Amino acid sequence: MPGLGILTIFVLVALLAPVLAPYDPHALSGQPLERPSAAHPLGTNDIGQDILSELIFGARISLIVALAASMGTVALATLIGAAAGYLGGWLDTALMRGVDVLLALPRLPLLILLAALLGAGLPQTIAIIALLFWPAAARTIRAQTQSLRRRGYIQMARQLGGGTGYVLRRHIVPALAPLLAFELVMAAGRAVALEAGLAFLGIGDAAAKSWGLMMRFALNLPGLLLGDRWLWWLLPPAACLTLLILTLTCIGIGLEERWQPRLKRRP
Amino acid sequence: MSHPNRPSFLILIVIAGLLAACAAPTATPAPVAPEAAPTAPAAAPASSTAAPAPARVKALRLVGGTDWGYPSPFGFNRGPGYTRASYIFDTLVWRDRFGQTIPWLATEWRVSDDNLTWTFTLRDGVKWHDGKPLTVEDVVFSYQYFAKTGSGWFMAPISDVASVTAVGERQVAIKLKRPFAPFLTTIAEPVFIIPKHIWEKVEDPKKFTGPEAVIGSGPYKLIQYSKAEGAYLYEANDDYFLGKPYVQRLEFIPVGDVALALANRQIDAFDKFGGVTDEMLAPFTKAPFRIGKAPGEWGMNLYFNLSAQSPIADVRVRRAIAHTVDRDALVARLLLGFGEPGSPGGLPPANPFYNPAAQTVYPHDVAQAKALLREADYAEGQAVTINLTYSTSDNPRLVEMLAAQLAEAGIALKPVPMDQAALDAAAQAGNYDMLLVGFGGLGGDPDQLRRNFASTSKTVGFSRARGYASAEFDKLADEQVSLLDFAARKAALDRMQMILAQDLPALPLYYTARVVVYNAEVFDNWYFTPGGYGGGIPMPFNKHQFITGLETGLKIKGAQ
Amino acid sequence: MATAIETTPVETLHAAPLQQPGDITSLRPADTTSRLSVRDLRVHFPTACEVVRAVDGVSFDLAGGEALAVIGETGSGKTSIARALLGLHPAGVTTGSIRLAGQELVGLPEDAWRAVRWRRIALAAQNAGSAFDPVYRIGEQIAEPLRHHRGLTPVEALARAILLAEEVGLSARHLAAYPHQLSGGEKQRAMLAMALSCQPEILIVDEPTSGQDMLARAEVISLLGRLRRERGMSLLLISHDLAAVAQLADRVAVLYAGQLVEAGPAAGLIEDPRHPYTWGLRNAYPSMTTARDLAGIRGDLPDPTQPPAGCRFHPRCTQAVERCRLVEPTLMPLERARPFPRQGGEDRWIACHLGGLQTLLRATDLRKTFSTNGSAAKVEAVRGAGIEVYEGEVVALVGQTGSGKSTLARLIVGLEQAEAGRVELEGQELTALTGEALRRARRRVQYIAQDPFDALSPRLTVAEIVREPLEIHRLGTRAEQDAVVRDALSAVGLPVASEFLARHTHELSGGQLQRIAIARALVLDPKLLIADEPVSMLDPSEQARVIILLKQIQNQRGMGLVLISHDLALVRKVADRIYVMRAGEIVEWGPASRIISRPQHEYTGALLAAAPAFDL
Repeated sequence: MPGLGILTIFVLVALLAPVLAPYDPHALSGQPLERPSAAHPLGTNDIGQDILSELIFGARISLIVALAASMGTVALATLIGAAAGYLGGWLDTALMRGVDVLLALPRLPLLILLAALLGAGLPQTIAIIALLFWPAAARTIRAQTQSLRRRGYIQMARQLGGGTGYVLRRHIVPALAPLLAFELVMAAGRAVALEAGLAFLGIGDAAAKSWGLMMRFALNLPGLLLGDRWLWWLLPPAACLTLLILTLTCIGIGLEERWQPRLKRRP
Repeated sequence: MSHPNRPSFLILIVIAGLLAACAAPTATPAPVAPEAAPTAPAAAPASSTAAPAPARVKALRLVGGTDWGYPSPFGFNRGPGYTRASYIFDTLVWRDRFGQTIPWLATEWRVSDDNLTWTFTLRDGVKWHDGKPLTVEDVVFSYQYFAKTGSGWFMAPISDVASVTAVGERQVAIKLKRPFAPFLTTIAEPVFIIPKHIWEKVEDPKKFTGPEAVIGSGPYKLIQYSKAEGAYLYEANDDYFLGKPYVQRLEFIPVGDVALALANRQIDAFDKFGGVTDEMLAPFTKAPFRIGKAPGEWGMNLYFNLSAQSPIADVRVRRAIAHTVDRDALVARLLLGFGEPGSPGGLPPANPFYNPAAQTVYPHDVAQAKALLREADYAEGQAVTINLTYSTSDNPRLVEMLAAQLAEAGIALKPVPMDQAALDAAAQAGNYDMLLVGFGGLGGDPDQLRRNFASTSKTVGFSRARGYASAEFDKLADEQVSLLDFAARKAALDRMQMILAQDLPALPLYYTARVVVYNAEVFDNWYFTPGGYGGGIPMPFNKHQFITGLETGLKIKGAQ
Repeated sequence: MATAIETTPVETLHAAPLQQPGDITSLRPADTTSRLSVRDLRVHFPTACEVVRAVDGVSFDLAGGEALAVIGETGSGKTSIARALLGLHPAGVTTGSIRLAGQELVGLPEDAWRAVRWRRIALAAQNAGSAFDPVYRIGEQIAEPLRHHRGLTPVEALARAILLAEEVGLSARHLAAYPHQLSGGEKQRAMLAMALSCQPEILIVDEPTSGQDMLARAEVISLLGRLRRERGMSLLLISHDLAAVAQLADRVAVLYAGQLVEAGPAAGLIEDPRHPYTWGLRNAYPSMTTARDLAGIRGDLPDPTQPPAGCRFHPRCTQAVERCRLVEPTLMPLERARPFPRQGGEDRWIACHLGGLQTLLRATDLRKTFSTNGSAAKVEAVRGAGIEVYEGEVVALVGQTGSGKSTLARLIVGLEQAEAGRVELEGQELTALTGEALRRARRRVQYIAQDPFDALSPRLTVAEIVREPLEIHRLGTRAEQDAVVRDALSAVGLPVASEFLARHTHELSGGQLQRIAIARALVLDPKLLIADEPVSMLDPSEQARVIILLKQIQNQRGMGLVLISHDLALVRKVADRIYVMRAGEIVEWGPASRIISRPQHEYTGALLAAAPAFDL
């Protein structure tokens, strides 16, 4: 899978960021707005930080967010989707109505509200992403759980006296694993995009070195696109983001085809 | 102040837009003079023979996108909000491109020999937007209403007014409690005259937000206001007492990159405070664009809450901070050199009362700062942690750089981010240890030092210092306001600036130089009003320039 | 639904067997109409160092003209009773009391016995062939006792013998023949003629039908019936042929290891056995009409020299409790023996602490309605149906697809929630149970689903699948669980190699999967197995093997088994009783033999007609 190869490169860059980056991304290693040079291959940003170093360290934020937020999303979605699908009844109705409401809510105001409630920072950003994304995944997981619940071996485990926790842990979640892997990867892709979007909107930790924030600061410079500065300041983080999101999406689609050829996505 | 962009939500869309934008600079014939556009200049030569058909600006599109409140006398926020309300409401006097006080609703005025009573003669034939005549009763009512509803309406020291009375049909006498040097600029100029027949019934003006709340006598009528989009749309009041305004329509519309928008002719002008380089302005150095610049009258300040239980209650810690913060570096990096370092005296170089001596009290000296901290019983290497409240709409780089600089002296910042409205409220309530707050008006009357820092000041607002009390400062502050002689008043203010620098209730960090970039083909009468309009607002949006199309006087360009 | 299977009410007979001698006087004075009264009869053969307790305290009465059958397995002591009644045991071997019309026979000297033997009590021995002397003609041998006991002349005796021969359906030609020239049936008749020669009051017939073909057997039965009617004599049938017993006897006494375990009117006892042994005996019995495989009762008769303590049947009993191991039960009327007497009843006596065969499962008036795909239309899948399962029996629930039989099973095991009705398991109402108590009760019933592909997780290994019930119920250590898993797999004939244990379901055949499903159902050691179409997904040869396996396991473990099937031909081989279900209701139920041979509901008839006639 070429997607995994590219993802591995991203992970390596993130892990080896202190070795690879020429400067501390927070250090004022040059004058503001330097053009590319030997000392600063991608120039410097508006306060004189090395853009290449920012870019390399930015992979860390994106991947941490991808990992944590997607796991948070899938954990929440699994908890709620599997509980609703498995237990059914009024709980299912209540949870799914809640999901419907959350899905119907406009995202942007919800984002801003959550950001206001939770404050800025990477953990908050991760929490916001997880809180935003779980409903859609929960719905898919619920549908799958419902069909699993009708499977004989799960009915038998329940009949034997297997409690909800046991059946979920032993049967439902393992049976959901391929779907969860898919949701995880797709949520990771969306999380990367949303983190960038949040950083871009200024919701989040403004001192973090993330690609979204790099783009935000670049675009904050009036007339950036009128000159050639965007070539080394805006384009690299945008390209990295696009590549990472595309990579994760490709892996997700690959997983979907491989493990769940008959899986029906949202009806 | 920053204008937060309204970028596309999804990053992919950003990238798509980015790709589209790649082509934009080449496609835009910015540097090339366009073929004769159907705009004003074409009509101008005909005016000599034909009936006077004034060449007016049909619409002026300006940068919006931020909500500054409903432009009623009690609904707006800060300077930009005041500006938007000032298009609807007039005042007794106003000021022109040169900072000169000019007649407005009042045609003339005189002050009594004891310098306590100011008598204004009202202009004839002024009508409210609803057609009712504006009378002396409205003026008397307005001053009384503002005095009643708050001691400091938009920080105008209206509490120094003892009484307002009608003198005959056309005159109003305003009696002061003491001789008040900045009366015209800080009271008569900013205080809106509002229609008595509407507001006398209003119990809670803050909650009065209907269409009647924006009935004024001003040159423009509010057509549309969108809180969510921060959009304001005005149309000219053709019954205006000066005649039909030169600019017929004002639009504050949301845009992304202001420079790009101007280059693409989506807007007709933008202004920027600090953070401007020649490279950035390069696309606008040729016709039809023009650039106007002015020194800084808007400053970013680090306020210390002296009534709070924190390390900064100790003046040595504040001084250590002042020595540590490299204000020149802030100007160089945050403003890209387009601005000046803050003066611990509290007034910027652009203010006529600026005392340069206050500027040099705290050279950048980390060793000195560490010595001061040790003096204040903080051991070497012991971390001093201070909460820093700041607005998320301010430049986030500032906090980043401040944190990095203060860390050199062993001072750690604990950031407390807030949105602008929450920050203003926290500032007003004194709910902070250290506060980053920016505001303009610094080029205006220096009485602001009294209002913000004297313990006797009754001013309420985000620029009011907390917990600071200096007997000498209070005394000088109360004296200077009545000193009508410039030299005498400056001497007092020089001393006051030195006291502030010594005591440091606040540390001004930098002043943003200002630029306005505009398309002169659409409208060319852009300027920064010296000292600011409406009591010190440093923006290039003085209504005088839109009404008259000229730098001074009350004649409208092109009108007979 | 009625528990008692339809029984023919039999008029209360004059005497009922009693085991304790003391009971005779206290409970019921010796009935003068009793021709024969046996009390506490014991036949103990001393051998070199042990005592063989062939008969150990048997009491019964035989009235004039009455036919009593004593049934039991070979070795249960039937023949020893017969020989005791004829005084054929050596002196001292027989103890207790045998009174013939009030005369005590036990302890009579041999010459006194001669007046009784043949004259008053005659025996038609079991092995007719060996009872005759090969060198004499049959006629001479029949005449012999006439001359000997009644002092007739040879001519008179011969004339009498010819009459007797005619009475049993033999001709003069037969009388002239030597024993080896006669068929088994003919020798049997000759034996009867000989036994009848002295016109005894009581005729003991030992295994009259054993070793005979169907036709001869039928003739013997009709002959015995006719003789008894014509002569008005009492008949003591000693047999294990339940069909013969059912046709000939008025009452039946069931003998096990030298003791009576159940007694009562023949029709009711055979149709509705109450003692687990009788039950097993009946079920073990091959029947022409049910075409069932011979099932047998698990285990063997105990060693008569060392009978087990307590109830002698307890080692083979599926429902034995601690008390059965310690205390010897007393034969007493069924109504008194039951812990919770029920109304109605009959003249049935039983020696069982538990009051006889236990009801494992009693499901009554269950109802379930399904709404189809959200539409308003509702399907009444089960409409007040119920089912009863006794200890150790195989019940078949048959009906066409859609008759609601699966739903009924799922309601019973709790896979579906019933809208109404009760499910009692071993006397416990399940709906009244919650939490741990319900879990414990549910353990007792295991369900085997139709489709093993669906019922077994594709993600677990064989070992994990079979272990899961133990895991859920947290039974035993891991090592103990592994041992149980291996036992269960062995029981269903699957390998226990670790390679096999680590396989997943997709690596196994349908037959293997169904065996795994059965093994999984066994690990909790259930009392009742409910198998829902357990073989419908398998090919025919595998079907037979799995059905036989289920039957074997049921038999070995003494479980109840409910077999749900649409295939009457399949289940009638193994079922003791059959319930027929149609459109959510039970339309007919009863012993398999009866349902197969005399269906009373037209639907059952239709099912039978549709069932393939071939036998596996």
